[in-house]
Amino acid sequence: MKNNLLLLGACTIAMGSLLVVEDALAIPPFARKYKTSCTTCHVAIPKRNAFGEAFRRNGFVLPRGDAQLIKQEPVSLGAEGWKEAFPNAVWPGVIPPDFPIGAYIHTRTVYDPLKPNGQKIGFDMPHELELLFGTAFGNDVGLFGEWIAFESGQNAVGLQRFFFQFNDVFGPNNAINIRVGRFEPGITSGYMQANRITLDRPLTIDYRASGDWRPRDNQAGIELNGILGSQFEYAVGVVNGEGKTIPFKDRKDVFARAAFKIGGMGLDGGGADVELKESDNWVDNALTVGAYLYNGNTAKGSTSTTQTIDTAGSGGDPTKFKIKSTTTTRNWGNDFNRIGFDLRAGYERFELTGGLIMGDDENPFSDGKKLKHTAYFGEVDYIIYPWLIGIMRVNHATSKLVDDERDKYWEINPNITILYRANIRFSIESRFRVDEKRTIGGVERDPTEKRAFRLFRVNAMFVL
Amino acid sequence: MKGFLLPAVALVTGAFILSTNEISAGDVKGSVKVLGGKGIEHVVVYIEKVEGKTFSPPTKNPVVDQIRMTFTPYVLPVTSGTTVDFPNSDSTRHNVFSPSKTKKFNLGTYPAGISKKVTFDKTGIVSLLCNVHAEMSAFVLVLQNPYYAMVSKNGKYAISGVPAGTYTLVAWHPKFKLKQAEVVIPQEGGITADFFLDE
Repeated sequence: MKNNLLLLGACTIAMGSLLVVEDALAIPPFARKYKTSCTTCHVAIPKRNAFGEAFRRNGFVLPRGDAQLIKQEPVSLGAEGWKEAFPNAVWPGVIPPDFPIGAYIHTRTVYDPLKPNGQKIGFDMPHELELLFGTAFGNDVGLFGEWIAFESGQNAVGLQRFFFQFNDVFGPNNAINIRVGRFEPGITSGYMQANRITLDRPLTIDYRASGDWRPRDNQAGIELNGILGSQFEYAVGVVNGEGKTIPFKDRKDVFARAAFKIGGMGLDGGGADVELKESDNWVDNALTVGAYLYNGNTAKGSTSTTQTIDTAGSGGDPTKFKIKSTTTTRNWGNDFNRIGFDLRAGYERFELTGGLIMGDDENPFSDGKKLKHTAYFGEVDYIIYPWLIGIMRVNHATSKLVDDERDKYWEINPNITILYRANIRFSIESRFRVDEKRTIGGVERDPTEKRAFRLFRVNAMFVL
Repeated sequence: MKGFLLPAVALVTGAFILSTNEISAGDVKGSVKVLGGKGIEHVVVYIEKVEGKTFSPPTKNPVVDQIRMTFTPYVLPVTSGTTVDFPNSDSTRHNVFSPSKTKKFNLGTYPAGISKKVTFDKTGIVSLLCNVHAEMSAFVLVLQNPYYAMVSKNGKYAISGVPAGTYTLVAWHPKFKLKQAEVVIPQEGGITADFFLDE
């Protein structure tokens, strides 16, 4: 296996070296707006560099000189001078000249060794078509949306994220922003779902310990976030909670995260060059550490149907017996807590990220048994060339229900990413998983699946 | 140069006479850059204040015209006390008003061929708006003295005839935070001062 991987890596590098890298022009709404390449904000789409992260945190407004760097002039809804006429006039604003929409298209080939012989290789083409909306209404309000039109054979998968961010509501710049809509809760700000290069995700954002809620799921709610002194970041919010049978219940989930960055570009873009850069943007020699809390409640429900023989009125004749079905619906709640930590350390071409999430669920399976669990990951990214990136991630998860262990496994994701163009990306990725022995009912048992090699995918991503 | 009543040249608003004597001429030159490079020609570089002096407005009124739904020029620096003409040279009716504290006024809506005027007698920034066309915008920058210059499209400016002394030199643009520098104008010769407006 080791030799195969080396061969794969060598082939990938050889193939990549034949490619010619050009500036990308056909790119989504923000790139069109500023007429700049994806690489201004992304190491490799969609993973953002420090500048791109500052842009996101600022509510999709450039850290410095936003208005002056806009190349696609918006339509004015009143000149700036109208601000002086307030409150006797409507505060002036702008509207984008074009509807701010872009698209991500994934197409992939999958090799699944766990499938039966003859069904292991699949062309998943296209795998996904995703529409992205993004703009800012001047410096004050940002908008971001994501709608999956097609995924894995299913049409109109639906809206993922759609939120407005009201920037600099009061106080110093970037200190207090309000995010409203459907969004990924700020606890994942250290490593967001949409800020990865790999096809798989780090477990700390993806782990469904009790089978439903996970940190990265988009949720409807309100979040207060901001940056203080360029180095301190916070987010607090209240959201509906995912996995609920009844989403609009009064009991909401709450969360908070705080992070501190040492060195590199400020979280708000402080220290960034005043012109938009398109090369060497990955360098951010800095250390960022974060911690978060999440408290939620999952309202669950189950329906079971029992069939009995109804002999009433049959006179004892079995041919006249009837089958009677009784449907029972049970609802219960599961209170849960999570505490997590994240880390990001960059040095020249290296970036190390890591995370840890621990939690407990009071009653996840309606049997009164408490579930305790821990997941963590470590990832190293190395930029071999600006268009060639190597990634290795290791995940681990454990969960325990009183005496019985539910999850106990390692997962490894090696990945090679090639930027064929700034807006066309190829990923070659494998998934290895090692299930460990678990104690069930006081007895240690071998895993049912002993094969480590679980999945191999080649994915092409197009952005337009 | 001392003891002369010096004529000076107002680079934008026309000729005027400096109403004092005992001055030494000096040139202030330099270049200005703005982030993104757009609108460099809207930067005004000016001496903030010349202490103990008063200055007469120009005899000929500067003009802010309204043509093709646009105020022209977009930025007009004037010396305090200057009267500005606001003709309507467009094919449609316009309104000129300002909500600014420096000079609040409303000239009403008037048709092509009509010109109205306003005297700006207090230093500061005056936003010009048209309540018929919300996107129309311009600025009158009312200054204490005539030592100012508009920056050219190639980013250069030059102010002539500044009396010797220590001053605050300011670069102002409607969409950037202003930048300022302490400058000392010598008895002989001039100085160079460059600016980069990036916020």
